Amino acid sequence: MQQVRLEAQKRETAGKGAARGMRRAGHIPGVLYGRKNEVIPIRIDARGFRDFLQNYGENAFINLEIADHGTENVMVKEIQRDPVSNQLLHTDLLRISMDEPITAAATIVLVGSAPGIQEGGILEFPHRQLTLHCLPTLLPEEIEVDISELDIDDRLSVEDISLPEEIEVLDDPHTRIVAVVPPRIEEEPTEEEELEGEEEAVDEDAEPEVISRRSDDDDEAEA
Amino acid sequence: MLMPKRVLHRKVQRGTRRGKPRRGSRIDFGEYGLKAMEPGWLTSRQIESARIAITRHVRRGGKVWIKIFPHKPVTKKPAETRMGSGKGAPEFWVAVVKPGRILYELSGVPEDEAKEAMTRAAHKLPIETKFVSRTGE
Repeated sequence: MQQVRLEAQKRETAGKGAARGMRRAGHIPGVLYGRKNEVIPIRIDARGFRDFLQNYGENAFINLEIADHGTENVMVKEIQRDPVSNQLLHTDLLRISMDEPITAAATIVLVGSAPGIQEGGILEFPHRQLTLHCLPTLLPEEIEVDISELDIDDRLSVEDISLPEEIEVLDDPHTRIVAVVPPRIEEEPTEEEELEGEEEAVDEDAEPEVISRRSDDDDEAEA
Repeated sequence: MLMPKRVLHRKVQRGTRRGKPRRGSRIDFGEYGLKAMEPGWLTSRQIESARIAITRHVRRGGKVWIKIFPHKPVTKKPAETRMGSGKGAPEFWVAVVKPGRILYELSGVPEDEAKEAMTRAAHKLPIETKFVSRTGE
């Protein structure tokens, strides 16, 4: 796992007004905590932090140099983004020690090409990260999963991934990571089928069951 | 057409469309998505129509996820009725969408094909939307 140097400053102000001003000035508000030490509100240069995320992802270790405080070993715990513009809003940084196990997510990367896809199957990749518990030095940057033997209807689960014994996987072993599923082809309906479909749609206008009404009926029956 | 199987109340008040989505603003399953850029009500017919537009364009090899569900009943009074006499009958179902919400997800197709499919779906919807991809997030 890579170690990256980042600079930050302590921030004295709090609240949404101050945070918005900080973002306008090109900084991201954040907070540093962990290992039962003090909680430090910080601000980080937005451009530097964006570059860091682009180059190293969320899993890299950071040597955070805080002005008037010193250096801390941290990693990104959480990032808040604007749901519309996807701009960075806030970050949580967690203090870590290289001698104590941590819980972190590692990204899964698929390698090889599955024969099932060449036969027309669709690759489903619903679980893209594994939650691991291990020493920071053992935390893999990414986990490579070979899919070159996956035919249609084949799947790989968490239990199929082999990792060193020192690394504990916290996800459910039966969680599906990747699968090749048969394609579902939707044919365009003919005119007759479309007319039938419209008739069916009228039938579907029936109202759903009302849960509260049933309980009212029960009350009346009891009375 | 999408519609709840069981509901607590037959009729509900209009509620608010203000604010940002609390969840559902990230691509969870697929590679590409269609993101709402303004608030609105999407009816079950519009949701289905957009889904059909996507699946008919990608035809082979794509998988589509619908990330919204029309939970909310909308009532209407019959035409030329005098005001009063209570709330009208449930007419259709809508999903309340807030800006930033991912409406559909798609995987298993090249990006240009996904973009075209999402554009066709966007034409069926009453709100402004944007094509997003997992890599471009």
